[in-house]
Amino acid sequence: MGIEFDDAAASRLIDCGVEVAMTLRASGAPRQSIADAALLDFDGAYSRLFEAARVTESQDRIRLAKALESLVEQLRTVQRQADAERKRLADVTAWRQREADRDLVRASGGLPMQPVLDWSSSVFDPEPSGTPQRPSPVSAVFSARSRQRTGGRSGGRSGADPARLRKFAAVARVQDSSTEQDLVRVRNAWTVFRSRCSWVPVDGASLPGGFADYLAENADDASWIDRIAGAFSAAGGGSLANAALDVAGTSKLPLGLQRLLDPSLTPAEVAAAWAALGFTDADIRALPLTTQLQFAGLDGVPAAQRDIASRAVLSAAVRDPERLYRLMGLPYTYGAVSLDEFREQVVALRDGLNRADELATRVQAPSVAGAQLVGFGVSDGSLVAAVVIGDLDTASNVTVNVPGATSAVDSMDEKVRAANGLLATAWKQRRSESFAVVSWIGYRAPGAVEVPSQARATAGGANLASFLDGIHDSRGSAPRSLTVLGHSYGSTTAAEALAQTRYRVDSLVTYGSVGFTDTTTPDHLNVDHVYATEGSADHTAILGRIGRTDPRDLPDVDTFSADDSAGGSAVTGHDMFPDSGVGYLSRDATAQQTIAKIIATGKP
Amino acid sequence: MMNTMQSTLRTITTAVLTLGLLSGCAAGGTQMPTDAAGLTQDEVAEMSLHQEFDAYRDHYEHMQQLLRNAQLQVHDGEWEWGGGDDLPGIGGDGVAPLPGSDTKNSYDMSTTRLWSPPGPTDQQRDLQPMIDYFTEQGWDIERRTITGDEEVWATTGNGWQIQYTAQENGDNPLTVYSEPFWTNDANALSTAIYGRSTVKFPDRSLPGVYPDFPQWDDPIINPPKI
Repeated sequence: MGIEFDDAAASRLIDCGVEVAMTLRASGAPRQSIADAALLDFDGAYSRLFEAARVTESQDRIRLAKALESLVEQLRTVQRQADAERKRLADVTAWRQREADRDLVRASGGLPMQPVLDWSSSVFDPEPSGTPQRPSPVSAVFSARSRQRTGGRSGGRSGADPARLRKFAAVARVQDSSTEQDLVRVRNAWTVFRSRCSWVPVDGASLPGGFADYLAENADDASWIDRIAGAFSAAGGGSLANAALDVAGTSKLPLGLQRLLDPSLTPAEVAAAWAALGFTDADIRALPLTTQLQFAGLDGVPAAQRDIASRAVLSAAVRDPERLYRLMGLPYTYGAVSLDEFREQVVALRDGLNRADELATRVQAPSVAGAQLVGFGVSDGSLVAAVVIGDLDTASNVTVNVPGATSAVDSMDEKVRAANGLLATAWKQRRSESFAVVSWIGYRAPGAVEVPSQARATAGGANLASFLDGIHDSRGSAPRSLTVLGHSYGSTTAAEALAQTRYRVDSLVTYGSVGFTDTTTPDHLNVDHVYATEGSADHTAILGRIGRTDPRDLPDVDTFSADDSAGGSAVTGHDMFPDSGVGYLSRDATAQQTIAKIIATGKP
Repeated sequence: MMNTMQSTLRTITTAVLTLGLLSGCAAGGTQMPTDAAGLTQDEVAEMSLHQEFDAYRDHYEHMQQLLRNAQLQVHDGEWEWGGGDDLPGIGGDGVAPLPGSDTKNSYDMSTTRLWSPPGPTDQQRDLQPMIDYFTEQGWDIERRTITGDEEVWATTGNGWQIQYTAQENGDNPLTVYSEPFWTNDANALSTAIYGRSTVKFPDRSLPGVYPDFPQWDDPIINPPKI
């Protein structure tokens, strides 16, 4: 008889809490610095409102960090209590066994031996405590405060430099988009903890919701400051009456759209908000570019509508890269792609998407002959996007392929060709199925030297978990089959995601994996089957496995060959789909054919 | 004295090796790799996009003939299409090697049709007529097995390969592959064809029935979306 307490789930929440609290505290100085810069030349009642909002944000951030740190301490305590209770239960079981053995001796020795045996057992082997260790209740409590954003009753005037205000809004958004990943991680880890550690009573659980409210307030701040900056720009400089700023500062977005664009929503909440909004395709096309940019990144919105917004943003980025580079906050993001890289990447992504459009028109029914761009935006300073061959909204069989280190959106052409080949091979195995294959470059992949670190996988895993859950939520039902493929570091990222997803995935296939951590072994993943392969000529994957375990060495992982076989070729290196040579997803590769069969039939 | 002799010997050996390698390179240099149409990369470099388009059209017609003849060996009724087959496939990793080729400077072609013989699955029975046909043609034949599916491959010796599979699930796909062709720009060629294509492919058709391939003078009806 054990207790319902999964140490790995608790550890995961502890690690997450420690990291997120640290990040929140570390972000204080940069936030203060950009706010100080915005306050230069900012005067009047609106500068005081801005300063008050900044102070509230800063205090809430520290309160949130403290709430997380407190949660971590409580979890460490219950981990110790769980250890003690498990030990007590084991001691009781062992004692009962010994006592049963002594009973046998008593029975065979007769009554004269009984007092001696009773005395010796009470002295040398007393019965362990029968009182269960009660876990301390855990309390995860935090609520964000609302911020005041109108000051018209003052009757005075305010003045500001609109460029400084816009820069504040852009930098704050970049910072908050990273914190959104942290929210997803906390929320997911908390959910897993609650479901796997029911032994621990929970006194209060407002922290995930409060965290979301804090981010929603930050998003409102950024939009508010953008509108104030717009009003100052329109006025051509100088000061404006506070009453005029009250009008300009009031959101012009309808409530339904405001709700949809709330950055703290889960994919399920996004899907509900989208359904309530009742927008048509034409409505999405008519949205301003800034709103389309936000809309493109919403997991939970149907792929067809995300495609419209994403293409509009990509099209604008190709036409006017400088504008989009600024709009995405990239000039102010540490470690972000440069403007030149941005230009090259958007053109390459455009070419990759055009290739997908061409190839997808040749896809056989019942798969839908079309391609979709489901998301185009920024994550951790990198451009991110996902391209689908097929229709993600209706396909009965969905595959999401996650690339590894050094991948960026400029490699989309290669990825969609690989996806097209997979789809064609899978079709031969199950032609009644409608397929959709997603090339998901939705995270900042690590550079080669970053591979030993788990940081990019952690951030990318949160993005991918949201994307995968969004597929279910936007459709309202699960596809018949959902397979996740992870190449190299992409497999590490995929495992991070599958430790967090709310919906179960049918298969995870790793190829050339740089490994799983202790908390992402298959028994911790929300997946039915895990498959793994690695070619004999792949001498790179092992170099990335420092501190991680080769999935092929884990129990509950089925392996298959990536070498020469009667029906296919061996990979010639580590690549997914190289220009020359054989990669894991090259058409004639043994690995590609086996992966396609897993996609189609669920087994190699 | 010993050191001087060793040094002289090393110098002579190096000179001989260098000469051998240089003459080898020179000999190899006169034998540029030829593609499935027997052309070198230099010869294709002389071609315009229009000429490449027309050559592609000829390859396409030839591929359809090979497909039709093979189909008729096993089934003269309708076959399912494995998707549109008019666009160039990805170069760099073809069914035969072409040294120096990559995804940008080469392409290949393929077309797939599928049918399901009635009655219980019998993979050997299904393959035999195709093996007999490939043998009659004098083509090289290879048998393969992958994850329970039985295949027979023929190499025609003039740039084409044919794969017929008897799958475990009772479906029998037939695929004709070209070996790699050189191109000056794989993307430009693909876009030139896609832009003029009517993009209408049947779900099923009889052997030898396929949509007309576009002409160079046809209007561009599918410009890139972005």
